[in-house]
Amino acid sequence: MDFDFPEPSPAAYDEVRHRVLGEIRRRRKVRNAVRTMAAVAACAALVVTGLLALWRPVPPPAPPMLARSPSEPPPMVRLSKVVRHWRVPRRREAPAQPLVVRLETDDPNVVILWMVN
Amino acid sequence: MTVAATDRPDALALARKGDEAAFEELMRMHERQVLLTSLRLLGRMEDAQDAAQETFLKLYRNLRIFGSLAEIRPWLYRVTVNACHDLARKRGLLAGDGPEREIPVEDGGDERIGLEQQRVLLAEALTYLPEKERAAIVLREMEGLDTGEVAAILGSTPATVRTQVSTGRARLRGIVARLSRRKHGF
Repeated sequence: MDFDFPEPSPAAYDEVRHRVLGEIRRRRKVRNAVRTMAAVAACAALVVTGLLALWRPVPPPAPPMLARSPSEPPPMVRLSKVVRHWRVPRRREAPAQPLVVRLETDDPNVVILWMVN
Repeated sequence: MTVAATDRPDALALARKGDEAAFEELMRMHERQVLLTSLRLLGRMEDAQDAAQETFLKLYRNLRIFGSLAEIRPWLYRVTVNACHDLARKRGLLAGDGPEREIPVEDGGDERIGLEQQRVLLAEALTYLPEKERAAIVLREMEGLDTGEVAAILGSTPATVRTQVSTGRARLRGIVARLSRRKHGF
């Protein structure tokens, strides 16, 4: 075919390159911003999960397992209030007193004190 | 301006790692192929630049699929043709595969057409061809690809491409004649 379009000018090529690179940079910025936000969100989720794990209350003790035959209807379980047992500090005992035996003699002025360890 | 694909085999590897300069070099290697093919298929530089931009952005996103630079060229032809078809459909630029467009009647002139006018006439005539015939003629006759390559790019068989080229040429002659009569009065 003895016909063709004229060769595009160098400016036309430059414009295409400029537009493509500009679009790539723009998309890269958006992608980096999304990645940063995702990383921040992941860190926050980790922190919250960690805090929840530390603050989790101790569950009440499980009710005792009762053996029953399969034909029996399941026993009614009444939910009772959770009773919180406060820890009472143990009272400190007084130091032990030595056992003293008092022996009186005929002489009222003489008394024997016998200390037993 | 075009650099041989084998000159910088590391450009592909660097571009894959995100090196912008390497990707720019890849664009320089293939920009003539992409922009000129787009221009031949769409007929207008602004549209051709849009199609070329879309094609290179697709290349950037798909850099990982290429094992070597030589694989880029045929892939780019396929993507360029598809980008042009998409753009043409979106903007209603060309005849597509539907019925032939009506050739508009313009004021006639009595001067003989020169080479430049002939170019303009043929460029316009190309836009009246159905999409597949136009692509076959551009790739086979203007880009100089062989029938097998054109068939691979268009996803058809060499026999179909030969038929499309032959039919397209005949149709093109008729369109040029009609355009010429209506524009120049002979």
